[in-house]
Amino acid sequence: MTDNGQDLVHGVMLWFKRIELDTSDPKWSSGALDCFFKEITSAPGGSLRDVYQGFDAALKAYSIELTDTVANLIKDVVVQGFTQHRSAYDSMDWCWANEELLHGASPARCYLFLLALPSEKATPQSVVAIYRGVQDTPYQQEAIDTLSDDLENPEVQKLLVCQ
Amino acid sequence: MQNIVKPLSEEEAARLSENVRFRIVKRDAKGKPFGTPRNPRVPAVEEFNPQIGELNAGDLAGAIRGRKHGIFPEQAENIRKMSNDELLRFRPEDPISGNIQGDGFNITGGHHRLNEIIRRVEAGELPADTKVRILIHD
Repeated sequence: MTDNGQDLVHGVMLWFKRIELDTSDPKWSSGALDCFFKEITSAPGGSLRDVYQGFDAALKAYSIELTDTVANLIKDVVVQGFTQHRSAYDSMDWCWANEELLHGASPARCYLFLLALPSEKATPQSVVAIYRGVQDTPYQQEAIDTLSDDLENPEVQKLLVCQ
Repeated sequence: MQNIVKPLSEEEAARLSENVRFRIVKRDAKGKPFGTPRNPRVPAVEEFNPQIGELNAGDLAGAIRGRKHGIFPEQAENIRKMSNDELLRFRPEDPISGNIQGDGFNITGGHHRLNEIIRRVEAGELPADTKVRILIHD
């Protein structure tokens, strides 16, 4: 990643701190979220990937719990990016997310990847990590339903049996 | 709450933006959330099931059962500058909205406007019997 890319990811992390994500009780508005997306994606060298990479880094750095409010924020951030910046979203590289999931991720981070990581860009290992990561949380059934097609993949099934 | 919910006119339903329909709480038939890579579809109007709830401003605080998030101070400050008419106007592109929960509702949009309406009632700046229109949906 370039220095500018690192600055943007850091800037995204700071924005999430400003809305009190670090308390696991973030406070935002649809207008604020809209401005934030525009600010990051229109910055020199900025992209949608910075938003999601910075969000994930913030969830990791602040050890965020998967509260209902955090889940609502994750859903809003995914729906906003996916529906309002669709072409950028479709061309986004998610290798970094697959890499992060290989090293283990908290339930909040797994919930972000559950909603954000497109099926065709998720490795079988990532699907299993997400599935396992939200087990024993109130979002387990949502994960089973959301990943239903991925869980039929023979490679995923093999990993589920082996691990 | 149920008995003060009325159908939304066809004209008003047609003016609801896609963004508003993504406030839907329920998921699709397979249980996948709308507006995400595994379910990119916009919920149909029938799935969204939009209706209008009309509540007295003074009853709002007692009817709220849950909310998506707390109050963002900068947005609260902006909303505080609105006139009563601006605050209460039903905006099809961004309505105050909620999902029925028991005998009340969970807020799904317009958190800051509702917060300000409740503040003005408590401060005596808005009559408690002022009607507030809320988009109720599935």
